[in-house]
Amino acid sequence: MDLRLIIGRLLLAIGLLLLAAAWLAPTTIRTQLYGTNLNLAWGIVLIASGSLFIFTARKS
Amino acid sequence: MPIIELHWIDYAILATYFAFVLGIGFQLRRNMRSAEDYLLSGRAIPAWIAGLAFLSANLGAQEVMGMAASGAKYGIATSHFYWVGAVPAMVFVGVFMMPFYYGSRARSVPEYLKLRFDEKTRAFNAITFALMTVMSSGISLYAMGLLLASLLGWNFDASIGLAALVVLVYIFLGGLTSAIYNEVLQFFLICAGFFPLVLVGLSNVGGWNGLVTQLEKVAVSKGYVAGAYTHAWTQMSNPSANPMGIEWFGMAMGLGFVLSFGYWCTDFLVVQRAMAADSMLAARKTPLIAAIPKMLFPALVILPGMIAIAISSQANGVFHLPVKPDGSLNYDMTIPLMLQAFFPAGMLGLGLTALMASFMSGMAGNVTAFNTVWTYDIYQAYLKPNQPDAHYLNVGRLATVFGIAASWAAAYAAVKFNNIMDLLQLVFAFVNAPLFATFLLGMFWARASANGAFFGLLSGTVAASVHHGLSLPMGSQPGLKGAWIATQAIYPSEMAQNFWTAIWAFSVCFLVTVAVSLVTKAKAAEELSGLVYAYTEMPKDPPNLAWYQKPATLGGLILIAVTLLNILFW
Repeated sequence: MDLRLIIGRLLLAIGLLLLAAAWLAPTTIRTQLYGTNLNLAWGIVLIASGSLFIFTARKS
Repeated sequence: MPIIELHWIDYAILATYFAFVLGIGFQLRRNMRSAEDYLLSGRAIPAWIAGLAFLSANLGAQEVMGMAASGAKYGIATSHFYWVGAVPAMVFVGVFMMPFYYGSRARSVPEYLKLRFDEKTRAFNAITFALMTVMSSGISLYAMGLLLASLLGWNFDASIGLAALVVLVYIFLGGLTSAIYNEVLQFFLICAGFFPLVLVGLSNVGGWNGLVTQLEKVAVSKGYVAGAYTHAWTQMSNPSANPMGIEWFGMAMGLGFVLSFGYWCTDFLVVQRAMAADSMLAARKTPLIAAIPKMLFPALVILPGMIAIAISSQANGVFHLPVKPDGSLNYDMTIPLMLQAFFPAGMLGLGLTALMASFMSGMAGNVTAFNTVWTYDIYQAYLKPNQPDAHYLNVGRLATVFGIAASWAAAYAAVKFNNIMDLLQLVFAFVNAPLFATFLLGMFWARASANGAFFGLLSGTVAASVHHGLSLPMGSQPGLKGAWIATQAIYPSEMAQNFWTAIWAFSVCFLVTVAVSLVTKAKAAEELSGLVYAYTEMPKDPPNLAWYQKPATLGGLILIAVTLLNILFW
């Protein structure tokens, strides 16, 4: 069981859910950080990180 | 504090996390064929996984919620737990102590004590350690229950029951390996959940400069000089000049040397992760790998507390820390309040998941250490030796159930403290502080005898009790917080009392061990091979090992980095 694969899949899944939240959750002042939608920005970060873990695991 | 309604997307994130956590347990269930697989991970864990688990086992709810609470209560001086305490201790255990732990092939820290000294020292340590893990695990449960009750309005009793059940399932199925794998997963989740919280919080107070300006006002309003919350060392010349109420000697000796070295070098909870590594080199690198993220963790766990107290002090602040019935601020609510104030639906689910992860990693760490010590050092050693391996595998599983149940009971004792970190340090002062003196002498002084170690350890623990029974933190009532014998000394804070309790425990243990050893018979040299520095050949690094992978070089670089951090925030 490659732990990098599990970490990658979890981060990817949460990142996708945050992207969904960016579309679905009501837009308030709390959803913004320096003018960027927090869910959207952090969702992209988690998807990128998760993909990196999965890529590393598959490559080795 | 108003109850918040979670969006379905928050529940979806929580459910995804639980599915992964339980999935790891179910996946590993088929690999648990022997007691060694279940309790020691078959000694097959790579260095990077063991390293992150070494860090995460300590990254329980008490670390996240407790350190944030301490950040709010004491300011940046709380970072001494990392930059003076944990990181140098992790370097020490990796470079100097791991060769004895791993090389002796002991299955636990108490078993090392048996090999080095005798059965009675092992029994004493096994019993006190088992009690301590249950207490620590109870603190994790309390933190979780508090969080769910105050943030979501869930029933406290039902919340801790449900959370304990999840931890029970994945440890029961997958043992130490499941705990270690989940700890690594939890490490990444904690980073993913708290890093954006720090960014949003900092942006709310006007960045780092805005935070410093606000905290200077807080310090002056409480009668300290302006930098008392934002400088780690400048106000350490006098206990009354800083919120922690401790001077540099108490800090460096009590926290930096005794408590931190005592915890990181002797606590089986963390050492167990290194002992599960797949080689001597991996075991030595385990604490060193952990030390690298550890030195940066104040930004994730202490900074939120400093941000919270800055915001809370403003009349028009986004939130204010609640007041407890006794009039003190409820610092433990720092993180839940920030999550509620700053995170929208989605991110709130992630933040909540990060907190759940911290709770679970802390509790699982304690429970896996408890079941190993119970099975090998109490049950197999004294109750039922010479049973088939399958019997001890079952006992390990039953010990997991018992450890969780006992933690549940211990959770209610934690309710009496307004800062759970204070309670935890008190427990460490009783158990780890004298034990560190025993290990220091045991590993580096061949003349230390079995009777010296036992009576030293006993005296150190008694000294901690007597000191606690005679001293009290300012503003507290005699009882659980101290002075249950008489009130002979008043400390400015619980933390100062804990540091001095640890100093007394260590010093008495050290002196009594030396004195008794000098008049009693030590073990012969041939019995001490692999257990004492003088009679052990230190492991040599493989010839083709890159310079940055050599434990001594890596340790040196980490010490330089942590020194720079101390200077930067002096």
